[in-house]
This record gives sequence, C-alpha cells and structure tokens, in this order.
Amino acid sequence: MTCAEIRERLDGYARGEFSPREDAAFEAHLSSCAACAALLEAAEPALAEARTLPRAVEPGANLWPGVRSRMDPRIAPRRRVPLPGWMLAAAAVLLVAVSSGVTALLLRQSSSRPTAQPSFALSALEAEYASATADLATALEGARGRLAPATIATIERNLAVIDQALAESRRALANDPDNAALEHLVVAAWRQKVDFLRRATALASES
Amino acid sequence: MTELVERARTGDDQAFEALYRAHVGRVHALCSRLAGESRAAEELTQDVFVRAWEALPSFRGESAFASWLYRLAMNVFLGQRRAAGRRERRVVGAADPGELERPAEPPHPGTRLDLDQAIARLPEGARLVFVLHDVEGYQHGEIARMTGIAEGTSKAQLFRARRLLRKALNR
Amino acid sequence: MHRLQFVLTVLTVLTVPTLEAQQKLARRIAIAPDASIRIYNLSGTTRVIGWDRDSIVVTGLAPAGTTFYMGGAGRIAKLGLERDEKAGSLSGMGMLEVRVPRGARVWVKSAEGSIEVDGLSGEADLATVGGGIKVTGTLRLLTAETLEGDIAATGASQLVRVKTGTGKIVLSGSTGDLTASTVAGPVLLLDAHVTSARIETVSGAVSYDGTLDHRGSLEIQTHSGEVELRLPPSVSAEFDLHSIGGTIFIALSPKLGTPPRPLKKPQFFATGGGGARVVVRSFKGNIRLVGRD
Repeated sequence: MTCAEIRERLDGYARGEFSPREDAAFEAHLSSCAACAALLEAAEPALAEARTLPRAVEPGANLWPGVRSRMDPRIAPRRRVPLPGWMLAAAAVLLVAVSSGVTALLLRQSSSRPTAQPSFALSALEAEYASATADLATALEGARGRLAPATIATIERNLAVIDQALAESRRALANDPDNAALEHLVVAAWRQKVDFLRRATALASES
Repeated sequence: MTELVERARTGDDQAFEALYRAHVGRVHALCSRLAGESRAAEELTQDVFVRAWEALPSFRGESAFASWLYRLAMNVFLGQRRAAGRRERRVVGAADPGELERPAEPPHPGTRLDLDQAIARLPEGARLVFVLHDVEGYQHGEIARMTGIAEGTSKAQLFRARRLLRKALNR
Repeated sequence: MHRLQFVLTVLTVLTVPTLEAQQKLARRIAIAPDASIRIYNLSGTTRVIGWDRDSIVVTGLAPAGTTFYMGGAGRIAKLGLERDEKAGSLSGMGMLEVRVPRGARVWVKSAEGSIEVDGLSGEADLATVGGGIKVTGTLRLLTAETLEGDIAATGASQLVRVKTGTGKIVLSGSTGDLTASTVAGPVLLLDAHVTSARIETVSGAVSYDGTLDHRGSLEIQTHSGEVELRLPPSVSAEFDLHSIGGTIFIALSPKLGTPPRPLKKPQFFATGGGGARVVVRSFKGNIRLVGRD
C-alpha cells in the first residue's frame, strides 16, 4: 500500500472493512513509514479519560474460593498454624450436636489468620473501595436529574442499609481486629456498596 | 520484600489470601479490559492468582510485588490467547464493529463506566493494543515484543481502537 | 453496502412517526437464528418470546409521544420505543411483545417497565430500574438486574447472574453457576440444584431449598439476613457456618420432639464424607440448617 492509499483508506481500516490481506498490507506499511504512523497518531490522539479509568474494579463474585481450591499445597512447604481453641470447641460441640448419621470431622485449618494481622492490606483495600465509591457516587449524582423521585428514594434506602451494615461490621472489626470472618464481612459490605452504586449508575444512565 | 510477600512465598496460604484481597481489584480491572467480557475476566483473574501462587517461590523481589503480579497477569492472558484450541472468550459482546453504534441512547454521563463498556466491545486485537498502550502505558515496541505482533500492527490497531471508541462515545 | 449503513437504512425505513394516540404495532424482519437483538423500552412492559422461526415479529402498543424503531439484518437487530424529545407526559404505557429466534442473544433495557422472557434458549441480558423481571425457560446465560423490582426465574439455565436492591429474587429449578445478590430483598431458591452458587445480601433473608451437586459449592454471605438451608439429611457436604452475632441451628436429621440446640460458635463439619461445600457467613443473622424430605 502506498502512503496515498493509507491516507484515503483510514476509515475503512478502522471499521474493519478490509480483507485480511489488505489489513496486513496496511499494518506492514506502518511498520516502515514513520510519516504515516505520525499521521495516524495525529488523526486519533489518545483519549484523555483512558488514563483516568479506575485502576481497581472488584469482581462481581468472590473468586477466592476458586483460587484457593486450585492452589497446590505441594508447591511450597506448609507452615504449621496452631489450631485455635474455638475450633476445638466447635468440634466438641459438633460431636454432641449432630445426629448419629452424621460424621463430624474437622475439615481444614481455620480461615482466621494468625495474630500477625496484615491490617495494612485491608486498609489499602478499604481505601480503594472508598475511592471507587466516591467516583461512582459522583457519576450517579450527575444522572440524578433523569431519575424518578421514587427511584432516587429507593437508591437512598438501599445505600442506607449498606452503610449501616458497613458501619456495624467496621466497628466490630475495630474491637476485634484479628477476626478474619469480620474482615470478610467488611469487604463484602464494601463490595455490595460499589456493586450497588455501579448498577444504579449504569441503569440510571440508560433512563 | 514485605513480610506478607515473604510469608506467601514460603507457602503461607493465609498471607497469600491477604495479598489476593489487596490486589484482586487491580488484577480484575486489567483482566476485564483485556478479556472484554466479565465471565472470562473472572476466570482469568483466578488463573492469574493460581499462577502467582505457583510462581511466587521464584519471585526474588527485584521489582515491586504489584508490578510483578500485573506483568504476570498480562503474560497469563497472552499465553491463553496464543494457546491452541482457543476457548470461546466472549459469551456476551460483539465481534462486529456495527454493534458499536447505539443510536437510540443519549450520550451517557459517567464517562468511566461508558469507556469500559466501549472498550469491551472493541475487536479483540484493537482492544488488546488499546489496553496495553493507552491504559497500561506500554510503548509500541514493548507491545510488539510481548504479543508477537509487528510494531506497525500495534500502531494501526491503536488507531482503530481510538477511532471506534470516539465514535462509540460520540466524541 | 456496509452492514452498518444497511442497518441504519432499514432503521430509517421502519421508523414510525409519532402519532397523537396510541399506535398498534405489527412489524416483522428476517434474522439469523443466533442473532444479537437489542430491545429498548424505557417505560412500558416488554415480553420476549422465543420461537422456532428465523424472524423477529413485534406486536404491541406505542403510546403517543413515543416513536417505534426497528432495524436489523443478518445477526444484529435493534428495536424499541423511544420517547420523543418534546413529548410531555405519555398517554399510557407502551407494550412490546417481541418474538425472536429461540437461540438468540437478547438485551432488554427498561427504566420503569417490567420484562418477561419465555421460551428462549440462548442468552438474555435484562435490566430495568423499577420494573420486575420474570424468566421462564432454560437459557445458556441469564443476566438480570434491577434496583427495586422482583426477579423470578424458572428453568434450568446454565449460567445465572441476578441482582436487585429491595426486590425479591425467586429462582426455581437447577442452575449450573449462579450469582444472586440483593441489598434488602430476600433470595429464595426452590427445588434448587446448583453446581456453584454465590448468594449475597445485606439485610435480605436467604432460603435454599433443594439438593447440591456432589462436587457443588454454595456460598452465602449476609450482614443481617436470616439464612435457612433445607437439604436432604443424606447430603454429602462440608459445612462452614459462621455468624458473629447470630445463632446457628442444626437439625439436618432431627430427633422427634427435641428442638435443635442454639449454637453461638462457628460450625465446621462434614456430612456423609463431604463432597459439596457449603459456606455461610453472617454478621448477625441466624443460620438454620434443616432436613428436607
């Protein structure tokens, strides 16, 4: 392809109208022609907002169990984690509580962590969530004018429920910082908030 | 190397879970943009962390753990893309640029969400180059080395991606 | 002609001008059996029916102040009711009944309207702010999102993603992979059989009544909702039940006349040697595990 052809057929290339051979010729020309490469860059400069896309987007589902189940324990030597007392108690309770047809057994090591709590990981995560929440709340605020008053009331009611849950579980975690289950619940409440805001924003933008 | 990374490296799965939770949002964002479809992105995110668990013992801490992990994510994606017997990657989505036009809708507020939706609808090659160049900040030369395409192809695909995105976003 | 231009041409041809009164609709176009079809009907009800023909047939009512449009060719089609810019309040709700090839991929977007899907085997991506969503049939992929409407699905879809805020989610039948999420609304699974399910609420109750795939996984997370699992006493599963402020009751095979003892501690145990995996995490809701017939 010549430089003139490249210039004439930019639009067709962008729309994917070329045959594979024409695509290849177009691309090959750009490898060797700095002028045409510069022309393409000038015709379509970067979109400013590409660099401002959220760096973190939480998955819609909890992916950890799927990861955990595929982690091969033989890859690295295991560190023995002492069994917390409450698990022994739980096992004892079970032996009493469950009926004879049920085999009670302790399945695995506790999901709670040793006391060396990586709380910085949670605070970093919370900071990410807080910033994602703020971004989404701003976007939603922008769409507010196009929402029915009843919808706005619903959104606020839902957010109030989530915020209350978030406040409660964070307060509990502050009092019991080593409780891994509480950490899960704090993260879940954040995820719910981000997900709800995301859905509200997406649905509002289509109204 | 942070204590958490060191612990995970020596096989502490609970330390690894903490790392997972600190980084999953970032890895998932990258995977979503690369894969262009949420189900595939979730699978890819899981694959990345499983691979990270396997590769951690060889992580020597020369780079930050985060950079190592994101580079790994990219390699996992590119590896799967190259692999024979490509799985169906896009359960939902459009291979046809014609689907990018949406005349019935007004321009959206919340450009960030819209841009991500539009990225997801780009043809695969254009999406890959756009994400690597304009979102992740790689140069054409690096992209060519990583993906095995020519530099000219990278430039051309970037042009295609930006033009299709501008059209989709009514810019 | 480029396909896009063709679509736009067809769109223009089929656009119905705004009329003063409600307008009855009846339109048909030929389309591929696995076509992608986008339907926009912001205020009215939308009913999508899968059928064994390679065409889209639309019937319904377009209220005054709206314009109906429809276009498509090959594997892409788009149709809907669009509100006119200068229209005041609409006289009545629009209603669209859209017959589509069974294997199609259908998107429906609405604001206040309800959405019904029946007899589709392809994919459905349904979103409405205020309306309810009802799906009957076995789909490859079902995605349904609303903020305040109820979601009901009956069938054996492979992949299901359903989310609402205050609405209720009721799912009947088996599912391969399920994600269900509400804020305050309850989630009810009836005659359930899942391979993998993740259910999340903030204050909504969760009830799972059914069986588990022997390698299946069921994960429930709630802040304050009550959780009830009704499983066969013979179920073979690992259980991990955890409520920080609530109480756990286990009565999988209860003895007559002896109510289950309330348990405060987290419960880890397996029944029948394990196999499936059940995890319930709650901040302050109660968790009940009871036997079903």
